[in-house]
Amino acid sequence: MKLLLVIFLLLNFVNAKERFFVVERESNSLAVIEDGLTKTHIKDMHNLNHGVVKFDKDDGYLISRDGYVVKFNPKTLKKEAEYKTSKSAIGFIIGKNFVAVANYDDKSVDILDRDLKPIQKIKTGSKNVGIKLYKDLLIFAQMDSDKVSVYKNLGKNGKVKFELLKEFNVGKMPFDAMIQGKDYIVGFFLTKGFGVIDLDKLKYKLIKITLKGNKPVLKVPHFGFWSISKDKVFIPAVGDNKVLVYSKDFKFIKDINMKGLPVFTSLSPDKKYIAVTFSGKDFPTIEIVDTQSLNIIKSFTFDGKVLHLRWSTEYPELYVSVNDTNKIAVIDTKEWKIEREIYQVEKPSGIFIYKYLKK
Amino acid sequence: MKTIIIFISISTLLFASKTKDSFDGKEVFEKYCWGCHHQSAEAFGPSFKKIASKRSKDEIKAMIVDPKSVSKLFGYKRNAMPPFKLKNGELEAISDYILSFKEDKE
Repeated sequence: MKLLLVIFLLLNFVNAKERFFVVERESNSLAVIEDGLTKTHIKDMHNLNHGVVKFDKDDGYLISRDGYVVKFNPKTLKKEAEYKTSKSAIGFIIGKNFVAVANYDDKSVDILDRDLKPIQKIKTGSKNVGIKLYKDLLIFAQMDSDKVSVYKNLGKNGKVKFELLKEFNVGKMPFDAMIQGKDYIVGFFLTKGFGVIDLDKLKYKLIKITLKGNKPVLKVPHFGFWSISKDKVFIPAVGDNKVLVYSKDFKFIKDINMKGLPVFTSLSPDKKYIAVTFSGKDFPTIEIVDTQSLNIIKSFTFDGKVLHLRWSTEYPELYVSVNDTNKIAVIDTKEWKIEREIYQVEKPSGIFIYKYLKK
Repeated sequence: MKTIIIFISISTLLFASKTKDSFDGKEVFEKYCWGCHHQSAEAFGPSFKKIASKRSKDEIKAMIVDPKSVSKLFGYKRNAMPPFKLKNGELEAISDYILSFKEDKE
């Protein structure tokens, strides 16, 4: 009882806070936003045309378009290390004692330690995408050779050593992937379908889709890991104005007709809504879908290209990166209205959240 | 009569100049290409630097207009690029912009 009381009192003193890190696409920097205000910028982060940031505990990592991995402290906002894995990197994943980076150019996957010292380089002869972790497995897709590779960490006593466990021949030109429980879901640019690999059984199956759309795709969709609700998987279609909805065991439910070609499908923290961004002429628009009724319940059109968005978990808010007009728009997700606009961000794209406890 | 001819000539020149100038290569890039290509780094598609190092202006224009056929002529195993119906000025501007990333070989 005393223990419970202590925990209760502690919880009253401690609040989870969010700090937003926004990629400034053209100026090699990250804008740092807290409590709705731009506080500062972390500079010299290399070419951020496709900058991606991830956090693990109190470590922040970033990869740049020109192949750098940068480790920084999201509390002190200081850079701690950097390492250039290649001329162009596209994605990475943080393990307990390593960081794995998928490279476009030099067609390899790099394994570094948490301080970015190189451990292993896996040469694949292909651009690599969709890098994910599952238990002691490292999974990624080879875009040029239509394969998914599963490597296993055989290192002992905290050491890291990945060895090839199995490779699967999959659909044409895999471009991104997500993990749902034990399943690795991979999207294809040139095959009408998506692949699912059961990572426990190491079995692959192709889920065919019947969409006939073949519109020019001006930005490749992103899967991320945030398109999976309690009972559904949302997949942005390639070349069609639709978001595909499947059950968790990959039975077709519905194609949702959208305004444009989808890029991101991002699930709200309460899993009630999915926010969808678009490419081409519909770059400035986002649409909000109710994940139960599967109807579009709201649409917003901004005065410039929307490149990314992120749901806050601290407040009922959706942060939207409006690249052309140098601002982050914040949508009140209870009233579904623009709550405010945050400036002092230059050409924003990716928005990433670091959560910490604040007394 | 002479005045009218001079006026027409100047108007034509001005109009031609305006049409040519009204398309900026970087703007065309940001409108159509930017989601898949980067100027100097390999992205989903090849970098402009790489394209400029091995393709002529005519080849670049042909690939933009009809990538399915032209990629076969280039000997590529497959093509992921969609065809683009650009205005002549846009096609000129983006081709010049791509070629501007060609590196001088010493």
